[in-house]
Amino acid sequence: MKIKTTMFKVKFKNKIPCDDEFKLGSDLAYYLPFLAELTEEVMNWDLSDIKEHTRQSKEEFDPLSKEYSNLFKEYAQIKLRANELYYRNRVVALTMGLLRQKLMQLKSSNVVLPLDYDKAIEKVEYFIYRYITKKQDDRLVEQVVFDER
Amino acid sequence: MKTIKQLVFDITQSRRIKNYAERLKIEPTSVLPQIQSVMEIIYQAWFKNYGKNREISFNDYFISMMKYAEYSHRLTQRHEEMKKVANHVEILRLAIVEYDIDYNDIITIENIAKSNQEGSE
Repeated sequence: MKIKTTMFKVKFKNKIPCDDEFKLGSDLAYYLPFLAELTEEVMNWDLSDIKEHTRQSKEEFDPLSKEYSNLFKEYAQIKLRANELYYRNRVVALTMGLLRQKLMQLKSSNVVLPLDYDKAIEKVEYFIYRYITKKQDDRLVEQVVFDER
Repeated sequence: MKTIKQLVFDITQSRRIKNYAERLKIEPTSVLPQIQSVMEIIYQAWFKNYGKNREISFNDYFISMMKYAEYSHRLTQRHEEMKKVANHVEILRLAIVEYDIDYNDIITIENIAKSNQEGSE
């Protein structure tokens, strides 16, 4: 069986100085995702400009990374907390059918309570729907997904 | 110095190009013009420098440019990730407030209903 392989070829507009085509090919393939950063702006840079811009990016990147890692920790904690509260409500909702029934009974017996029966029953029904009938809250399921590096 | 007018990517390198294109959901062949135009930019930038200083090799200049591109990209990406995570933290914060409001409402109703039961017992 013949295995189909593709080898790409790129033609240059200029004669590119190159002693090692394999190395140039490897570098281009490796740095491919970053090439979009190189706009016409860089055309006027000399070597020290490039180094200076690289240094600036590095310098900005490190503290930003620290900030990012703190933010991510906060995200993990808040996500955990949100899940806990959601499940707490879910467990509570399991017994709320009884409360609904009780409210209906009290209402039909004309017991006077400091609440509006219809509104209270509606709230209980909503709670049961929200935490049992309805599927999981999308906000909890949706993860922060990053592109594969 | 040896010069080239075209470059053939070997199987491994081509696979990398293919994977990259797949990730971006574009045709691998549309990646090639990007490589071509970036090489044109780098070549012209290098050529200007070479005119002033003959010791600047194309390879060194090229690699410096690539490293710059990598750092610049990572920085942009990190900024975007920060926004994404911060946004998600906010969404979850609102969810938590909502869960607590729902919970408190229901417990208040339950307590009122219970107070009647206790009163009648």
